[in-house]
Amino acid sequence: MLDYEFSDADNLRFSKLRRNLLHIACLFIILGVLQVAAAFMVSDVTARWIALAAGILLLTLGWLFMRPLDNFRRIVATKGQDIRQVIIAMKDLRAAYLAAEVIFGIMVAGLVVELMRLYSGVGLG
Amino acid sequence: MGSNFQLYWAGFRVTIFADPALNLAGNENMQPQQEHEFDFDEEEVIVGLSESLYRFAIMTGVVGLALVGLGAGAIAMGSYGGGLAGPSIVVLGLVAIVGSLLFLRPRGDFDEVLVTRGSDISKLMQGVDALSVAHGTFRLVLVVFVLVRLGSFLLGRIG
Repeated sequence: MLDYEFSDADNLRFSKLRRNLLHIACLFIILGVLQVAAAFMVSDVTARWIALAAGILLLTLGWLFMRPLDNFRRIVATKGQDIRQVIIAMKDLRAAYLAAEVIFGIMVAGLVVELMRLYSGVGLG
Repeated sequence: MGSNFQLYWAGFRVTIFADPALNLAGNENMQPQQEHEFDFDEEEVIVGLSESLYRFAIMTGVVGLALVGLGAGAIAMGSYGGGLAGPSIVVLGLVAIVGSLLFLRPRGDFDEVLVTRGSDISKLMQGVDALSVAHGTFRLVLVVFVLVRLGSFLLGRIG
């Protein structure tokens, strides 16, 4: 049985999603690079390691959002394997969202700590 | 099932049976491509993505709420140098909350792939469109984060 083939209009929609994902991946990588660079400017050793870990997490997130891009490109570029490529892309996207969830969880924890510091009068300001 | 039309011409009743499978352009070989029906394993992947999207949306919303709280605190206490810092954090939080709501829509579309038959690809493409819009908003949030981080990095270097 021949695999389902997406129409040209569908391919355009996949291309748009791919472009948006590429931008997000690049932005996460830029954030990661900035975070890693900033980590070396921190004098406190513990804070430096935390900043470095956050930078590595952001770089990983950028890489995870890059993974489905190739499959989305193949949906448009190849014939006869569209459904397989969609499913692989979805699996990769799922992993990226899971990682983003963990990183956002850490971010929320950081924001809560900062909120507590702020309201107790020892905020960074 | 299409609707039928009845015409009266010269005393005769003519019934036109509208068949959706009939190609009105006259080219009988050009049948529309039948939609693919996802099998159990493929649906498992779609369910997994749908659940991940839901949790991701919730977490983005929580980040947004925390940012709004932080921004409100900054405005009240005059922290982070005062000025526009507090309101900017509040706006960023609100954008994150709106972004989180946008991620709930593709989840609904992907869920519909599982419960409907014969329109799996249509539902999938609706999900893809909604995901595209959600990522567009998420990109905006990330651009603001990058600019803020770049600004604080450059200020740190100059300082």
